[in-house]
Amino acid sequence: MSTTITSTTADSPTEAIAKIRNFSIIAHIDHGKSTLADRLLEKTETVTRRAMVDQVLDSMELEREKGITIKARAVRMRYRARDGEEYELNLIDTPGHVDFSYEVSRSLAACEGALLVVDAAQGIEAQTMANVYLALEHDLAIVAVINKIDLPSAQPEKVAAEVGQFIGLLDDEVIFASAKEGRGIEDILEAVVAKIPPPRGRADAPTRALIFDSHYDAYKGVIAYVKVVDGEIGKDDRIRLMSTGKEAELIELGFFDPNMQATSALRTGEVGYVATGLKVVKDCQVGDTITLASAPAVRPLPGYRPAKPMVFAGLYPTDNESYPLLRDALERLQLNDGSLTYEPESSLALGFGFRCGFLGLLHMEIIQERLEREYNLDLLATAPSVEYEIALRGGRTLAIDNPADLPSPGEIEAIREPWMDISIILPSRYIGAVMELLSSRRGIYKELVYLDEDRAHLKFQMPLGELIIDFYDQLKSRTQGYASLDYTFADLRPADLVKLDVLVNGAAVDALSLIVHRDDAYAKGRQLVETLRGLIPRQMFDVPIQASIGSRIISRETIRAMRKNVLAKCYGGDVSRKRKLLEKQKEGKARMKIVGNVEIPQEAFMAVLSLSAEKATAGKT
Amino acid sequence: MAPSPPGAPLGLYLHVPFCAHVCPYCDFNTYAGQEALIPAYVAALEREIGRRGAASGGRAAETIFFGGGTPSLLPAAEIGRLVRACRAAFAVAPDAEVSLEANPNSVNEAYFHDLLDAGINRLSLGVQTQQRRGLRTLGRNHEAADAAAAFAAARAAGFGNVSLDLIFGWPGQTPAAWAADLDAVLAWGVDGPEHLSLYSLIVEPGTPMADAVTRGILAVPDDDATADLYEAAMARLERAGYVHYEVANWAKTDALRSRHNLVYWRNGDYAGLGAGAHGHDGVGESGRRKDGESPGVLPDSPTPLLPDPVVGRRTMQHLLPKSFIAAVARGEAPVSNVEEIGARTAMGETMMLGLRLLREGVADAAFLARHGRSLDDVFGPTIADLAGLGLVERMPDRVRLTRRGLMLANDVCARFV
Repeated sequence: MSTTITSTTADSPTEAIAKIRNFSIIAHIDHGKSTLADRLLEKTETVTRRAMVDQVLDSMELEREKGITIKARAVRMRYRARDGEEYELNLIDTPGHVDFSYEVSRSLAACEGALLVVDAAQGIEAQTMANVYLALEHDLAIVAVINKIDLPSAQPEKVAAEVGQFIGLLDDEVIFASAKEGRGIEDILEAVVAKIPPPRGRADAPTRALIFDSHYDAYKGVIAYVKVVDGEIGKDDRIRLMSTGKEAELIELGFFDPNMQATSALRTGEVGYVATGLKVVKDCQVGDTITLASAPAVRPLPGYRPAKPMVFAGLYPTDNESYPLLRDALERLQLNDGSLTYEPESSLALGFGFRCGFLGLLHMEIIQERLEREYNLDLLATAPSVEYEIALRGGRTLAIDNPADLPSPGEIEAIREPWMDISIILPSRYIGAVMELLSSRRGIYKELVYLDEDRAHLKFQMPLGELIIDFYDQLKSRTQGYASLDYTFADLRPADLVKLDVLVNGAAVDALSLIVHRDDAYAKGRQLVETLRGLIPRQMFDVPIQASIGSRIISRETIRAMRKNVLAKCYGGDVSRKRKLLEKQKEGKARMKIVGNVEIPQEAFMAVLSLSAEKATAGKT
Repeated sequence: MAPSPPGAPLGLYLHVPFCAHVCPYCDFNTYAGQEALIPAYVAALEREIGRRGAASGGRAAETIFFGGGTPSLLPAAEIGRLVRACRAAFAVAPDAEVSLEANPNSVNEAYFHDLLDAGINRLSLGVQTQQRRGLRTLGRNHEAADAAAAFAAARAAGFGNVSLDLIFGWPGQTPAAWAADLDAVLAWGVDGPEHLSLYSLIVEPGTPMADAVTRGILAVPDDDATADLYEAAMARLERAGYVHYEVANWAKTDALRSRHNLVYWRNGDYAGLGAGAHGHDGVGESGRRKDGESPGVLPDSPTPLLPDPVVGRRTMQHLLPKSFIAAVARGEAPVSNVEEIGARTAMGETMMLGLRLLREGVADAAFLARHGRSLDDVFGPTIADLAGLGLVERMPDRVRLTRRGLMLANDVCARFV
């Protein structure tokens, strides 16, 4: 191990830099990124096959289950190339979901090249394309790999042609591989050495290191994953974070092989970690620049923007006693997740909880699952909302992320909502169905490019508020799962929006309020009320459910009182069985929230998600 | 009275786990095609009765109930042998209620006569329905005429206490068909049966009927439809002069209520004898309180409460007739499952069982005598809440279901467990 640390120091700085290659792998979920990474680690003997936990790079349980990578990591490999020289290869892993596109962009910014891995049977996907464009924007060299050529359904030449068309590669520059069978791995390593340029930083300039990921460690504080762009960081240096000016003594620095290896310095072009002793990840944000307190750089590296949540939802414990536990759990998750925000909120219906901000729906789902799984909390989540900018008549502007907070119409001058640039790659036979979906979601068509005879790239813009309500599921169902989606924030635009309130048994349930486009309000109100009627179990009395805009009731349904729930069956002496049945019934009730006198199950608060676009459109006539 | 005071006489339940064939809705412990085991089974049961009687010190018993399965598959002589075994092992009251469940198609007057001689004094006939379609849907292998004939035979043999089991809510049953069933059986004999049990069909998971429902072959009526059938039956039997004394049971007079089942509903003690039979002993344990030893946790409650002393045990005997026979042959107690009942659980059971008794309910005095705490002390707020919702009636000396509470008895009872 120690030889790997000392060998670079033998060369002059310039020579050392010339032997470094920093790269990422860009791939769609399931296209084989993790398997390929494993093969690279094996081939370079970074990890022996025996010591290999399958797919070393994904470390969280949840990631494995969802088949996605949430936390990026960087692994240093040493590779003796065919030219006889030994190279230092740093593989920087990137998160694989659209919610984390900013993190992806920072990881790419730390690289000089990327392996574009495409499944030989599936072809290129929207998210992959989005990331390739990001990589091209950052001037990265692209090495294309057509993976899974062992599959019977593989069409390597066709996929290679598709890839070539987008990136302008010649067919013979594409590497055919099967990570699973270990084919093509050496070709890939050779291409990394030959085609990806060494880092371009200046060893003699003031230190600037890019943070491309971070996590909280109970012993070492926040650990920042960095690429040293200019200068170097020594283990005794005092560092400064350029966005906040915050300074910290280093506890340790080093690199991953893939375990943490402490070292004395990270030099120009190198990738590794610094343990800062800082207590929260927020102090060490992705995209920020680290410099030295003793000789600070003048300007930070470009591209930093603070993490900004886009999707908001209320999280409430089902029993009020768990509120402090939920607060502690959120606090701890935030140590490790700078993009999660939360602040206390209270709902007349749900009691005390937190308004949480997430990067997107998947991020929200992950956080909710972690809270329930790791902290054993029973949670109730309200329907997701976006942040609206409200211009008030008095000239003041406020941002609201909870529909219940929308001021009365009389106070509002204008409402602006976030719009997204959306990109979808799909088989061309589904274009009609998807266009229809877009128009029902206020989408604005921008561009349609045919990738080949049967695949197309569709670009358009749509309000985020429409995107977060069941859009992805609708897209999947209309394209039988063949479409892939990517989106980024475009801008804020004025919109004619109204608040739709829901009254259950005569009382407004604030957690069910929605902000909807005026044109859709009637249809959505009707459908929401209908859906709720199906979701709220029959109670011991009639329960009216109404939708209103302001004081005007626009729709009403009644849940008829439950007439009979009695076991007129002979259980004889088997009292235990009967008791268990009743206990089970009681347990089911415990999962519901009692609002007024009505038991409302969790699904009801998410009912808005099941308001399908076509029904809302059909109801408009 | 209700619930039973500690040390009240036992009920003896004898299970006969054999049927000529098993009905598609049935999930009770019964087996077809194992009739060859009957002699060995009766012998084992006889021995087990002796062992249990001795272990209880010849405790007083005032009911014996032969349930199944199909107890009427057993020759009357074997029934007599088991009744004698009970009388030898326990202090069975001279006026004890001795019931036997019979299927209409395996009986005749001579058999009933022999049963009377064997000591049976109450019959429960599994009529289920008088509709041909219903009989086939329920997989019964008798015809409507067989049931009427069986009732007539019982009367002719001299049975003055006959109960009928009927099922409502079977797939395809119409309100008119249900009314016809009730009219038919109420007209039997001079003035109908002494007792009626009307059971709502529950499609239990794992039964052939559940499979048929899942596959869409059969459709069971929804809750509203079965509520209509239930209410129609209540009205019809009230008109006929029956007392609706338990959720599913009607009797001509209080004296004709099922005394054996009252033991269950009063959370009393009963010995379960035979394969899969359930027993309850709320006395044997109360003598040796085990404070601090039991988990002391409410079911599904995350926070441990005060130590909950074990005050009773519910037991189940080996399910398979063969295992039961083998265990007895080895001289072992044929028990396969024991559940210890904590004080808190026992109180919940008293409520969930006692509230089924529509007139009797749960009496303050009996609750105090049974549990050593007052009803209001334990369940005051819950009762007040339910009374506010119009589901229970808080009387000066007892609490019981209202008519609305009866229809929603599960919701009411779930509040207590």
